Amino acid sequence: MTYTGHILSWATFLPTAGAVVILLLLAARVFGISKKAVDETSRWVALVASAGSFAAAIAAWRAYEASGAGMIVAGKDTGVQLVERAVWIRPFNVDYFVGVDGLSISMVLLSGLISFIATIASMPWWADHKTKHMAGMEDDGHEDPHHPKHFSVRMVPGYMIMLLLLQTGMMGTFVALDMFLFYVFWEVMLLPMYFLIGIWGGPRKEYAAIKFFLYTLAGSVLMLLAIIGVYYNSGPAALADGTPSLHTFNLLELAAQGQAGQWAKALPILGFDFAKIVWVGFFIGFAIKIPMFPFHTWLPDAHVEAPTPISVILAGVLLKMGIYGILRFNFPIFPEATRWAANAMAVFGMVNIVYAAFVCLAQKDIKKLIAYSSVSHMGFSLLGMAALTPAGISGAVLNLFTHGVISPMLFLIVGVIYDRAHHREIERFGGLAQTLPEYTGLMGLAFFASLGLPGLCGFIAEFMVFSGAFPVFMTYTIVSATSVIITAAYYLWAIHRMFLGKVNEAYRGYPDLAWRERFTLYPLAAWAIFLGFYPQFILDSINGTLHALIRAVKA
Amino acid sequence: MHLTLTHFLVVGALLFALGLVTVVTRRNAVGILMGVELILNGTNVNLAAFNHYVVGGVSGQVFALFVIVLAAAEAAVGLAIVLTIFQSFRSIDVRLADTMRE
Amino acid sequence: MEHAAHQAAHQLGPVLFERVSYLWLIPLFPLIGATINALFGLKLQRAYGKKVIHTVAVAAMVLSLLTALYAFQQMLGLPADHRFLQDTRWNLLTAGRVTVDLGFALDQLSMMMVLIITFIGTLIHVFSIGYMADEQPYWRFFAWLNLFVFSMLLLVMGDNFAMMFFGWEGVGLCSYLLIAYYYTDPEKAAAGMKAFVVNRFGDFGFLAGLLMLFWGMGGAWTARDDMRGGTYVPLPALNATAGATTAAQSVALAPVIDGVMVGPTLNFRELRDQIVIEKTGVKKHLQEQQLWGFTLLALIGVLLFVGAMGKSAQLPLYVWLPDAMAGPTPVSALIHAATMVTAGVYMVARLNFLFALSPTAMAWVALIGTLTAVFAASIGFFQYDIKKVLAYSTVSQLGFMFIGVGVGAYWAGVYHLLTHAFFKATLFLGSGSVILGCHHEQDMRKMGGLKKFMPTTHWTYLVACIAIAGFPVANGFYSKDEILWKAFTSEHLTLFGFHTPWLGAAIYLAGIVAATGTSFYMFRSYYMTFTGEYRGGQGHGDHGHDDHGAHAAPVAAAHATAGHGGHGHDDHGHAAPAHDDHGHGHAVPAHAAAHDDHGHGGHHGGGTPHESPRTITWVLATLAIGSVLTLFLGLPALWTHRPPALEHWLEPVLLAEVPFASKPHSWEWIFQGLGVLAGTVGWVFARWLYKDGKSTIPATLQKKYEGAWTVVYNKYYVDELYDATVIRPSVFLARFLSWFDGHVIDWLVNFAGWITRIFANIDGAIDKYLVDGAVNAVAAVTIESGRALRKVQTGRIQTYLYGALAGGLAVVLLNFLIR
Repeated sequence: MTYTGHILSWATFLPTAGAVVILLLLAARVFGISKKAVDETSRWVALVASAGSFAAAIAAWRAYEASGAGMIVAGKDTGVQLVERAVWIRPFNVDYFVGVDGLSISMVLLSGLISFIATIASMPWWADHKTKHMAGMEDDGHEDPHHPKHFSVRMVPGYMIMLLLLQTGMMGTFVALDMFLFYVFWEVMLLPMYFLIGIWGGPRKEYAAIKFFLYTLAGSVLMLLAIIGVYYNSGPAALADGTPSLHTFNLLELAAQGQAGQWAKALPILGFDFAKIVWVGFFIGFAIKIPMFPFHTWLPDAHVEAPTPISVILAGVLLKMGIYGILRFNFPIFPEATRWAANAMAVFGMVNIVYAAFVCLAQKDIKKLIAYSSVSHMGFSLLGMAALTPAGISGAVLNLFTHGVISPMLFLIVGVIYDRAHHREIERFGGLAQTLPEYTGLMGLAFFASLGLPGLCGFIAEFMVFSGAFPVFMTYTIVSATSVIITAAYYLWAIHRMFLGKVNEAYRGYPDLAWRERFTLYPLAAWAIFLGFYPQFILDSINGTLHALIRAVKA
Repeated sequence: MHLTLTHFLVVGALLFALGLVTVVTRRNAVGILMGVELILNGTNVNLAAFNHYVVGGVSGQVFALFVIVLAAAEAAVGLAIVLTIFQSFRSIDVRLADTMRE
Repeated sequence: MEHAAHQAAHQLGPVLFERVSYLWLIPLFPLIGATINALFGLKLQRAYGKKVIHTVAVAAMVLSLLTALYAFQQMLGLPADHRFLQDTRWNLLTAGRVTVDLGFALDQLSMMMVLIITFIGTLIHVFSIGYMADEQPYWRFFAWLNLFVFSMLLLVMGDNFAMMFFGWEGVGLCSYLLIAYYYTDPEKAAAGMKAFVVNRFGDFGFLAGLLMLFWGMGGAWTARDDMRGGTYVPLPALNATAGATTAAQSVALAPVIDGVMVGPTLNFRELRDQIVIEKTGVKKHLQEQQLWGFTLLALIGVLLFVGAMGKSAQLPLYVWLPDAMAGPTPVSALIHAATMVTAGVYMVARLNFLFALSPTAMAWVALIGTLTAVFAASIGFFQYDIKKVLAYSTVSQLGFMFIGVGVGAYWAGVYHLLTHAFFKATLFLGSGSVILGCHHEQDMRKMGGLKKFMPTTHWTYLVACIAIAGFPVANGFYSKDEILWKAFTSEHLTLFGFHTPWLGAAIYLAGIVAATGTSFYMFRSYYMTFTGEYRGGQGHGDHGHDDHGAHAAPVAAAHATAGHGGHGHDDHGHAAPAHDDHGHGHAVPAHAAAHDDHGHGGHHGGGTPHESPRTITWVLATLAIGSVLTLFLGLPALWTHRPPALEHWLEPVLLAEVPFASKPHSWEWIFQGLGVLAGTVGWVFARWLYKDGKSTIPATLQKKYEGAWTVVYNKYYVDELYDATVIRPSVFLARFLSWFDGHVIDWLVNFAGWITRIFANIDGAIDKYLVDGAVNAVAAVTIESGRALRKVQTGRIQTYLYGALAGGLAVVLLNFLIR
């Protein structure tokens, strides 16, 4: 490794630096700086910090060489690029070890992009005059009950600090290659999310926040146990500086050991095979995050209560971590157990896809509908990767990216109408296409992208998953494919009820998109179209690693 | 009648007992002081008697003289205390002066 | 003529193709036009008027047509077996053996389609200039229309399944957008939704068929030896391709037999080469495979045909097409008659080499086509909405096309596609002209006598009627006759594993009945519209309107939930006050309001009909002339002693070997005569019953067979059937699962939380009362005993002295006692 840069660390810790700056600003209020100045400055700091992180993520994407795309497979650090490694906690054999391979590089890019978009969406700026009172820009001291302020006007520095910490957690989770470090980032992500939903959320925010936090934490506990179990059963390895260690947290080393049959030596737990128990532990921990049926009910609540940018991050990045974690931990470290569980994963994928799609059809709240559609779409990833075929696994990871582009767009779109109407009930809208043509156009693009219209990115992933999964799981794939009908039905029905038909007089005066909303929606729309016609842009980077991964799993 | 040590001891004991009873039962602070005088004098009788019948010399009488002086001093200090009590409680009834209980 | 294909098939080699680099321009121009109008259309229209909008759109179409003509000219310059233009732009995606290129290909078949699409598309764009002139969202119409042409071109030019599917779904989207063009009317918007969702049922079948094909070709990387028959390419060789991460690798790793790459592919040309070149063994391998107890190929064929059912409106997925008439009439002409709905026929013809391998699949295609042809024709008999008549006629004609491609007469099916594109476009545009002329009136009972008001529209409509009815002076006769003759002579069809040579004759019989019906209802529409007196703005005549009203009201109520515009014409033109007592009064205000939104004003039922502007009449004339001239493409061999021009042209593409019985020439003459006779019978009846609107027989008959009439008039209640069997159960299931999710799954989660809280409370109680209680008890005892003992301390010296005395006494006494 000749690489000596620190791109990934920059990408990870720039937001933290921003958070520290905002803290200092708060401290500076002692010297008489006004609240308003602190608020404004902290917004800028957050914007710059997350832009910087995004820039670093792009730099990482460009620096990553797909041709050298190796794998987390045959062990050691071959193939993993942009590595930074140093001893962190010597007594526990923990390294600070970050790097990217084909699996994580696309997630790093996505995480940077979505974080930046969410930060823009958190600004009450760039609303034109007509929307100003709706966005809650004017600080005239009294609250208009019909037009409450933009959610992010309250406790701005606190919000920005949480948002930035969340970004650090996400980025760190994707780049960490040390199990302990991964867990730390995983938990770092959790707490800001709790506060962001619990403080800046909707009417039932406390319930949603606690549900999210406890549910994820329950998963984390299983994961932690699994991590400890794996650690104490791992073979000897070396730390960053070459010090030999008895056990290891190093993911690459663990993958190599796992593929070499290390877990056969471990004692069974409660009479069950060690690898299988630990596999299930990891899997449930990650499945809650996916979220996989039947662990999915925290998601609709969290989404409905979370403010728009947080929904964007939640759907755009956080949900991806479940699948990412399974591919990072379960697949390479426990190839045998993965083969053992592949069928179950496919079944759960199928249930996710079809069940959630039907649930969507019955939703009355548009945000809940979209939340359930996320559940449905994440099922594609489960089904695709369970098949262990090249098209299936590439489709699964591509689905992470495309869903990561589409679902933030969907939530932003819901946010736009919520900012204006202050409710989200599908039935109460009608004829919005007449009032908000530009908005309707973007909505149509997002909805059709999500329902898998060819030419937009959702279709590609779906198609790859189906073509990859079919040879292995025929029945499951055919059943899952019925979702193309249901998905079309629920989206079109929602469009029909909200946007078409007679113009509802109550909504006639609504202004079309403001600039802030354009800043967030158009880039995502461009991505959706671009990836629809050139998905190889992502596939080029991810294919190498993923195909090596399934070779290793199937070996 | 031949005076023996026993007679003196009986007188001393009677004085002591009367003093003790006075101290225990009187509510008047001055009365208690007087009881104390009786106890001290009972002691003095004993000192003089033992000196004469048992030890010899004068050391017993000297002790008795010390006690007398001490009693005088005690009476002075005691009366001062009684005065202070009176100033505080407008009475010299010792039952009232129980404020140190708590 | 069929033996030619027979012989050729044995010497087939790989397709020889010519790489070119301009094919992508053909779809690009409409895409550019669509993008300009979609993004800036509103502003352009406001700033510079509608002229800019249609200039952009028509220019895009013309450029596209010119490019297509250039390609055609280049193709003509090539030898017949070398006419294949290939243009690969970039690799869309690669994952293992799944490689998809953004590639365009033109062979004779797709060339024909491209010419139809660009030529008729251009004409319809021109037509729309006049027709849509009053519409406010003019830009939106042209943007979507251009986008449609782009998608349609993608569909026919794509060189692989994925590209075809791009177009396949793209035209579905545009169809949705254009049907719901008047989206402020919820019924019209619902019709768009219905079209898209019903098509998705078809897409599901298409996708499933595609996946099975891919799997059958060896796309399974896991060992499934039990499902794999014969001596096919060794699995390891195919498995090697699984590691490919780029298109180049995928190609390099693919096993090659006899110069042909084998293995799963989405590319049509590669697929064709593998299957038709027998040495590769792919054909044999495919034929031997079984899946779930069915022959794999039959399953693939039927599933792919399910896709065609959706797009080409075949039984039972035809229901969306009549409702699709909610869109503007040019849309009905272009999308729902000439191009998009024929996509299914095109797909079956494109995959003829695949369908031909499965007589079962072919039999199903032909059977469904036949049933659709008869069924839809019967509904067409009694419709009053002129566009509805044409819609059912389209469904019926599509059935004929599927009979053609189903029995193996691929070229005849495709030829009918071409002739239908001309005459049905003429009919639809003619009806559009009539509707425009009658101030947006669609009910034929309110027309009549338009012959003298609209001469050009009249004669073009008549020509098209003659064509569709099957008289030898126009193109329809030649394609229909060829299809029915081939159906009669076909003898290889198989149903449920039984060889059914009688099926051909049965199909012929049903077909000839449908043809008679076609002639009847088309001439009925002609006579009702163009002959007699103009009835607009006056009474309805004696068409049993009262009965109709009585039926329509409950049915309309039943329809309200499902939202299909089955009685669309009820909403049209009942504005004349005289009819309020017929129970239609309710429709009037809503309708008037809807039209005010479109800016039509309220001309309904009043005014004189007028001929349409020249952009419309010229287009009509061109298409009518085309309907006649294209007959020369299909002059039967019987007359000219050489294969029809189109068959000859398409021969290298439609190469599947399908056996037909050879019958004497005299039979063929007789059958042609029967075809003409069928048309004549239909015409005579129509003339007798409907000419000049004078006959009272239709009304009498209707009264007599009330029940049957109602069932047919209400389209056999198929929409209601769907509502009861598909929509309601789905919605119910959705509601149930949503309830399940909220009340069971989430309840379990909350229950877990609740249980935890209960445990926590119990635990808290234990902690509070037991553990902490003990600690507190120690303290409490100490305090209480202290409080009790404190009473001893009185603060009085005397008390203490008593104590001391008592103590001293006790010591003394004890001293005595214990001693």
